[in-house]
Amino acid sequence: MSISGQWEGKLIDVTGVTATVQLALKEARGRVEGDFALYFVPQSEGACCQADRRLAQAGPVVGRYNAKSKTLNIDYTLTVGLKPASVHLDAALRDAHPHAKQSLLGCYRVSSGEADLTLEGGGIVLWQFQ
Amino acid sequence: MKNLKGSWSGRLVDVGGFEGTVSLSLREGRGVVDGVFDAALDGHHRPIPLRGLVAGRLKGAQLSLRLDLGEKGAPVSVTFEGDVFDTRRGEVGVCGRYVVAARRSSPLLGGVISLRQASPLGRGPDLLTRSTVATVLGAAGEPIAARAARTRARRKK
Repeated sequence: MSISGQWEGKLIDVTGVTATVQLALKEARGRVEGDFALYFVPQSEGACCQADRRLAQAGPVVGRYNAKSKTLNIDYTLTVGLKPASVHLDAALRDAHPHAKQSLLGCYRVSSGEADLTLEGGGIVLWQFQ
Repeated sequence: MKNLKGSWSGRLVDVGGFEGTVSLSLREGRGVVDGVFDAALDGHHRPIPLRGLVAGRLKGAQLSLRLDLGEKGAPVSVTFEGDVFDTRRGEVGVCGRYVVAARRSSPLLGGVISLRQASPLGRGPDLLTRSTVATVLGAAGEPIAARAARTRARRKK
């Protein structure tokens, strides 16, 4: 199964923040490039993930995909103000039938940065529907 | 080795499309962990409650838990593997993946769980919300902190 293509899903941070995630990936010979967009979902009652979402972060990502173990590792470096922070994601590809064609399940950590970033670390589920 | 004893709360997202809240009450000694798992899956007219006992081990920062749900004759076994880590705010979090083995239909297929340990200092979620949204601007350029203040005022009503 290829991981190239469009992915969309959900992020749940240990701080309680939730976000929707869109990710476009291109994989060749284990090397992965892509772009993502992260939208915070308000925690208020009655808020809808589409109507009230706000873009929090977007940018390019690079990583590696191991087709044998079906594992994906992605690194992302961002700058908040002048302070950098790095994000590392470890994910695994798995079947998501009947909800979607396949899914990526993973955990990310925010580290090596002093930036006052909203996210600390947590889980991500991404689905590929086509 | 982290001290896992106490209350944990967070969320799960399942590959089947379900989401829910999760709370864990854990005891831990010499790497042996047990406790009670409570979850409520959203996306229905009323949340689906899931409750069961968990048992497992903590090796270094790696937490393994097994949860038995379901009924007699139709057991649902959930196996969770996660990492325990310190957040930059000095709290303790857990994130990991779970897989499900079930003989009959189960709302859970497999997914991720993200949890935070309740702070002994009683640091409230409101303070956390304020600090976490401070650096983000809304789509219309409005500081999220202002929006958070509105949300808090709405909740008070």
